[in-house]
Amino acid sequence: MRLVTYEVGGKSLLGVILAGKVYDLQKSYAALLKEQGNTLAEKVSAVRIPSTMVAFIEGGEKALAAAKETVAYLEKTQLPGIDLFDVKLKAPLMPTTIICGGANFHDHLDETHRSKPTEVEFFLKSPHAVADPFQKVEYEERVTRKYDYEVELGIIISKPARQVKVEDALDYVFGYTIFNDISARDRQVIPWGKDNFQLRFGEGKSYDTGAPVGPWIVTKDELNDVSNLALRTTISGELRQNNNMKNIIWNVPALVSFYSTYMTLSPGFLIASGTPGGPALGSDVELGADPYERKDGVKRGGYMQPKDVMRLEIEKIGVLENQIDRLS
Amino acid sequence: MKLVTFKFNGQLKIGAVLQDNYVLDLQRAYALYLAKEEQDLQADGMAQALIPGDMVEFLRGGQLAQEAAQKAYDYAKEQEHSLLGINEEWLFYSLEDVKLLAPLQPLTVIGAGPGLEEPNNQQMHSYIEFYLKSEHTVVGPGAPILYLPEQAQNFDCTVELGVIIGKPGRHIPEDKVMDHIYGFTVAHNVYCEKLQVGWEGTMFHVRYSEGTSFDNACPTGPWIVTKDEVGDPDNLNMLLYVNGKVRDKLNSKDLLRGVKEFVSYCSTFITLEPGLLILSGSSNGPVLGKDADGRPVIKDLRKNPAYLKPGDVVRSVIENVGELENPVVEWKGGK
Repeated sequence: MRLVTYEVGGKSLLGVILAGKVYDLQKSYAALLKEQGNTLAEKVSAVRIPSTMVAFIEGGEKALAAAKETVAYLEKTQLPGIDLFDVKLKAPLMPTTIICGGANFHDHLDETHRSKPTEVEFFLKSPHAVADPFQKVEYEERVTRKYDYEVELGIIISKPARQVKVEDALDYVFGYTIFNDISARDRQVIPWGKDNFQLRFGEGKSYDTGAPVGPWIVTKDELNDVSNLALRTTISGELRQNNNMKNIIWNVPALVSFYSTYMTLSPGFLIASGTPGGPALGSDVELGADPYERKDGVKRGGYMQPKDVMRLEIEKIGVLENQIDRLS
Repeated sequence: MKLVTFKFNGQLKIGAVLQDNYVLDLQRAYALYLAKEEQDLQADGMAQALIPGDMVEFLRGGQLAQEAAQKAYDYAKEQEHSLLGINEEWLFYSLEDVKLLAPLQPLTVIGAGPGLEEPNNQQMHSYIEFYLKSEHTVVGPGAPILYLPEQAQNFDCTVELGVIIGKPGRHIPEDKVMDHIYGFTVAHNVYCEKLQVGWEGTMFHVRYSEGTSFDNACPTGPWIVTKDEVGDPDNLNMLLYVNGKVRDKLNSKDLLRGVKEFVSYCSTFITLEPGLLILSGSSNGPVLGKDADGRPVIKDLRKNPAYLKPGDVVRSVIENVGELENPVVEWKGGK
């Protein structure tokens, strides 16, 4: 299933995409229940399929089964959906916590003169920073003039996970989305002495609209294997990142298992996979980069400027697009 | 006013503490006030709209909601505790009978980076930072601080002032910050041995997530005190006791970055808004310094630090704010 959060008349709704159309899941489930003779169709549907994604995920197997039943129903009936292009998409979920991985692709480590650490990076990004698909991302000089892009796989957690083994980790995954870990590089990378740099994951990562998510969640039943998906970023049409999930150092099960050793991962957590090489940081000699020539067609380029369009693509998921601009 | 979040019959409620031993259900008191004093025939619905059970939602209601809470409080505080509400429901609870939860379940927790080994070295000030602590670490008064044997060396906590935002705003100068603060709470910022410098070749970072974001690592409470009762947050005495003995004796004026200054700084990045919890940091916590080779390292400068272990009880008092107590318990699964 492809699940979206979208807005109609200022109200947020949970939808499913079928053949390019968006259907209100809660309303469609009510229609199905009514057809089955359920006298409390609307009430039951409102509980079983809540209108926020996190509440829906928290509903677990029963909520998911109801959604699947609804999809089967929609596939054989002729209910009218809304054309996907006419819908105002919101971030598919407001994650309850965003855990970010990093140092997770060799080409990104190489271009920033880093060696592979013994464990994957672990930092947090404020849920206050979440931006919707197509929402304008702020270019705010008081934050930075070095705005950078990072395409990442967003892993959505389905149920509480604590100290889970790698081999069980996928049982705790609800689905996948695209995450843009926008970074403020001169806030994030601070020279220490002549040869070293401090990385600051607070200032460098958490600010308004610095975390676009979307455009939807593809549930695990539709996308079971993410170990071989192409990831691509273009900035105003220029190819800047071009890699594949098969090159990831710590894969999805490893990430879920690792972070669950620290805290209970809860439904609606988003874990970002870490990004491959190609962000502007990789060309920023001032901040310690080694801009070696790439062989994958990726052009070395500078930081984003106002009006640049970020287009992040992950195979079998979709495209997350946002423009960066001065907002005031 | 001292505002608490408590649970009764499975329902979340916002209360105001009276005489330090009673809790007034603010929503139900407001409904009674509206019905009796303003002859509002829709008192019940209005009270539910203005004073919901969730603190973040309540704060989002802004001045309108805050004034409603004040009216309810002023109306009920002098009444007999046997007084019932418009549906004959209880208005007053004995503080002992209710379970206090974290006064606010934040959407984002911002922590102040560590202090500096040489606070007067201006060059080092460019390495001061803020960090995120997972929102899921927040628990309430009395909740256990969970001790995990495998990560429990240097297991410790600082007492910190928790800042609760009331009014949204971005790029707020220090002298306007108080307009955006709703109140304050006491926080235990628990950390473990993983709070260290980690290296990736030429780059290093302080491992805040590993060191400070684990289950129950941020007890807060017991209440939010509105700012009018607190005075200047940059001059508050703070005491931390372990098993009844004073461990830290601090004043917020000694923080590397003042509370107002730090909140102003955070607003450069994130819009201040209800749901944000900002922790002040501590002047007696881990610091960033240099080792013999000039490389960055996290240090503990305290003489004879006594780390926390299961069975300890941590209690903190912040002047004009309150007292928070949490036991240290060995983790045996679950939260």
